[in-house]
Amino acid sequence: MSRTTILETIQRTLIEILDNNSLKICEQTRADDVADWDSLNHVRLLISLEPTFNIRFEPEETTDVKNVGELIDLIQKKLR
Amino acid sequence: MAPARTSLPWLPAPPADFLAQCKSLITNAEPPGPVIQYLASHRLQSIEHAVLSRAIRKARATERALSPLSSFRLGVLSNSTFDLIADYLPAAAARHGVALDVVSTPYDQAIQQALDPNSTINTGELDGCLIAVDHRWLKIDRTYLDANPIERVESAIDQLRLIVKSISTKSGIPTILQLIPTPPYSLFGNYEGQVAGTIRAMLGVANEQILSLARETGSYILDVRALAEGIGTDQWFDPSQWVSYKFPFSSECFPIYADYLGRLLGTIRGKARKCLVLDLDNTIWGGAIGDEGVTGIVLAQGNPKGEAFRSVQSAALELRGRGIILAVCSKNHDEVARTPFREHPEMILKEDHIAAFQANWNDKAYNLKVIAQQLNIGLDSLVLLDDNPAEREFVRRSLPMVAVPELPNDPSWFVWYLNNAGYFEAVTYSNEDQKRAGFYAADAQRNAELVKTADLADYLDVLEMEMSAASFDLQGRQRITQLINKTNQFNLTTRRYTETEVAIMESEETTFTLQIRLKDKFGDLGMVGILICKRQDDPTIWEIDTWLMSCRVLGRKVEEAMLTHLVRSARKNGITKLIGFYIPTCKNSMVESHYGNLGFNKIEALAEAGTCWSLVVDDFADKPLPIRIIDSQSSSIV
Repeated sequence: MSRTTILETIQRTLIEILDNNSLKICEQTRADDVADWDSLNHVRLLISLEPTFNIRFEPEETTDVKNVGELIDLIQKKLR
Repeated sequence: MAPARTSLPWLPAPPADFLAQCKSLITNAEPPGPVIQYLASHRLQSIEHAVLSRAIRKARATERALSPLSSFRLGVLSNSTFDLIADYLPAAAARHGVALDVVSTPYDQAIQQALDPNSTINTGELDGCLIAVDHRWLKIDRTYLDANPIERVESAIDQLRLIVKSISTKSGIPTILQLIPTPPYSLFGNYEGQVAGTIRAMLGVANEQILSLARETGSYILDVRALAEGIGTDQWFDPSQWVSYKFPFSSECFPIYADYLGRLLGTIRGKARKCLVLDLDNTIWGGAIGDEGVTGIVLAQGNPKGEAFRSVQSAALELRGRGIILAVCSKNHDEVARTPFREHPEMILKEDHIAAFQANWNDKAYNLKVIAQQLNIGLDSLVLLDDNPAEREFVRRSLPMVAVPELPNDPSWFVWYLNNAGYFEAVTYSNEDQKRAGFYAADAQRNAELVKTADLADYLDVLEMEMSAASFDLQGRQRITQLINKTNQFNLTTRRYTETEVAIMESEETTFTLQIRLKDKFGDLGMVGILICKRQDDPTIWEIDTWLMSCRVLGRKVEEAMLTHLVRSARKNGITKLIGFYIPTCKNSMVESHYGNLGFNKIEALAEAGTCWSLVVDDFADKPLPIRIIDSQSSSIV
């Protein structure tokens, strides 16, 4: 799956979770850059992405993720 | 391979513009209630649940009426991360007729919240409180081989009891207790159950005690144990999500957990379905009766398909046994459709099990309306079981309030789909329920009598009715609560009360209560009416807080007999005036002129729509009635 497709899915999901239709993210976006992207909403994002991509994140795996680009790396790795 | 209940397979897929529809709910001119319920009745993914739940929260905040949804504010005490589960709850509750507001409390504060009179739970004006704790909170999360395991279980249950009783005393709201599933872990393998200190053995005891605690305190049960068993505890428990997020169970199970809770809340609010409507061809037998004839349809034992269809019939008959009405809706010639019921030796369902039989060439939406009318129940009380996807889709579009489960091709799974969709939940079960299906058969006989006598007054005399009136008491409490929460049409104020509140009214000095039972020569109709009057500051006035009647006894002058008895009781209690209200809902227009018909004078229209009425007791004159009134308290005929 292409990075753009994954990025778009993450963005679509975040728009719904944060209830923010104008939200725009890129690979460099960090959670701290986005209003309301707190730890609880981060878990919401992860458990919404899991069934979408049919993957499961493991403990610790996501704690090292620093920005959206690294989250895409992780998802791509799991899809392989 | 079994379908996964975690994905709610009995629900249809959501429309493509689902998210957009959720968002336009608030801005639409259309009343939001029916749209919310329609949107909720689909197979939703996690994000869809969250978006719909948020839309419901916003709709609640606008204070627009959300009818037909009933409001419920639920407090939650939990020992795990519940916020993410809470995302699913309003959407799932709307599926079952409830506009839910979830009031979360801080993590792992169950006892503090229960004991503190100023806590969110005790001051939040809630309608109920869910105690969502698991084996970890009960400290039954490892094997205890040294200490006395039973004592350990009992002290855990004592903690629960403390919470339930404290909430009940401080806020008067009912609690919902969960049964506890056993994790897929064993220390002794096959011998596990024989050792008293194992998790499995201790939870076995704990669950029994939770059930008795519920009986003792009038709490409701959310059977998480049965849910987890159905899914499989391997899938239910997710050790990874527990260590990472403190989820009490796997996030894949959030939607079905939410649905189970939604069913329970819906049932508490009187929204459980009442009638199973069966299609015939390829739903309760194999093949088309019109083409194959009685000898051609597939229904034999020993034939896999035949047995599958027989299992559908058995399940329907079991439902009838606990009071669910059965009806038939089929595109067929009436006579042809009835033949298997009369002649096929392997039919489990017989003609007299079916309270309404609509076999003709009209469309199914029309026939369902006729069935609802004949049985005098709402369309939202119906479930249609139909193997034909086109018919299902047609009925869902025309009558979105009728529940129509998806069905797979293989009829062996029909019962699983019907059963797991959870349409026919119960929070009480009384002898009266058992008899209910029979009541409908007696109704058919009464109708025949009416046709014979043709004159209504004669007909009522012929019925030889006997109405008994008594104050609320322990024996009647369950049925009283059931009527208060289920009656929608003949209900002047539609005020709902929990069993605890009903119990309080039994001894409240300022409250006058009546439970009304009716008998006639065709049988006992059971409890059919409720009256609650509250004495006002002026001690010579009763305000009629609640007046409701079962629709089964409409047109029999029962309301007149009730008023006659009420006036007599008022005189005995020194009451000179009765005040009554009509508060309109989308279902009770039939009683709009109830008080006017009974001779009350309209005092004023209410600000919220609705009317206020009064009757001077001395102005009331007894009229001859076709009903003998028995005052059950004094056992005298008055």
